[in-house]
Amino acid sequence: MQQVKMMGKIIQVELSNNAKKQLDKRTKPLLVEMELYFSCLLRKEIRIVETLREQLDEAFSVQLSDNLHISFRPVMTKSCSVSSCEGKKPPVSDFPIKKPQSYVPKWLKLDFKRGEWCGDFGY
Amino acid sequence: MTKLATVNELQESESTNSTLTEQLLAGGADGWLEQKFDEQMEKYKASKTPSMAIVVTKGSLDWAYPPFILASSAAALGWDVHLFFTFYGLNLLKKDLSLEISPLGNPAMPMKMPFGPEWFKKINWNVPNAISSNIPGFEKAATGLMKQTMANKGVATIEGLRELSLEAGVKMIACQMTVDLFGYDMDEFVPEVSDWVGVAYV
Repeated sequence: MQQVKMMGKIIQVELSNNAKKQLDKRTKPLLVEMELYFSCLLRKEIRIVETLREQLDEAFSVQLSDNLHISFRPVMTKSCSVSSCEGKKPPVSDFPIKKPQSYVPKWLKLDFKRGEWCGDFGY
Repeated sequence: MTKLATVNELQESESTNSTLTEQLLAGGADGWLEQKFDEQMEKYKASKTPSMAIVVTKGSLDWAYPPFILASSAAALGWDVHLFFTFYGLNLLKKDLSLEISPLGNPAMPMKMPFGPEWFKKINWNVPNAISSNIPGFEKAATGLMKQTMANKGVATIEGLRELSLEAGVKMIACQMTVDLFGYDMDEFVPEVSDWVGVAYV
C-alpha cells in the first residue's frame, strides 16, 4: 500500500503483484485517470492512458513512481441531447467543480488481469 | 446680476425637470424602472450563493440515490445544500446502511441478471407478486442483484455518496420527532448529523 497526496488529500494506492510486474516492464509512464462522471447517477471509471499527456493539470495529477502517474477528472456530458451522441456513449467535458478536494478519492486499486489494466477507486 | 443669473438657472432647471417629468409621464418611467430593477437583480444574483433544501422521506436503496446525487452534484457546483431526513429517510443517516430494494409493488423495476453472457443479462424476469412475496429472502436476493448491477456499471454506492456529500459540506439534518416516533437511539446515527430539529428549521 502506497500513499500519495492530491489537493491536500491522501489517496491510498494498492497495486496488485501483477500490476507491479507490469509497471516494472514499462519504458514509458502510465497514466491512470480516475474519472468521476456527474450525471443522473455518479459513476466511477478507471481510464488507462498509455502515453502520458504533455500537459497534465498539476492540481489534479500526481506521480506515484517513475512509471505511474495518477490523475482525477470530474466530468459531465457535453450535451443532454441524445441525438448529438455518436455511438453509445455521450461525449464528456470537464465538470466545473468548485470544491474538487472534497471529491478526490480516498483509495485506488490497480490490477492487471488477462492482458488488461483494471481497477477501482472510492471514498 | 447675480440674482438674475440665479433666476435664469432656476428657470433652466425647472425646464429640464419639466422635460424629464414629461418623458417619464409619457411612458419612459416603466422602462427606466425595469432597467434599474434588472440591474439590481443581476447584482443580487451574482452575489448570492445558490442554495437547495431537500426533504428525504424514503429509506430504500433505490430512493436513497436521488437526494444524495442531487446534493453531491449541487455541492460540487458550490451550492449550499441542506438535506432534511424524516420518516423512513432517517435510515439513510444510520451508521450501518443496510438498505434494501423490493420488487413487490414496484412494476417499473427491471429484474435483470448482472452476470452471465449478454443475451442472458438482457432477459427481464417478470416474477409475479404472488411468487416474490411468498419466497423467503426474495428481497435480499433482489437487493444483492441490484447492488451487483450498480457495481458492474461503476455507480457510486450510497455510502460513498453520503461520504462525498458530507465532505463537500452538505448539511444533514435529522427530524427529532421521527427519532422519538420510531424509538431510535441517537447512537445509531452518524455523528456528522448537523442538527436534530423540526421541519420549521428548513
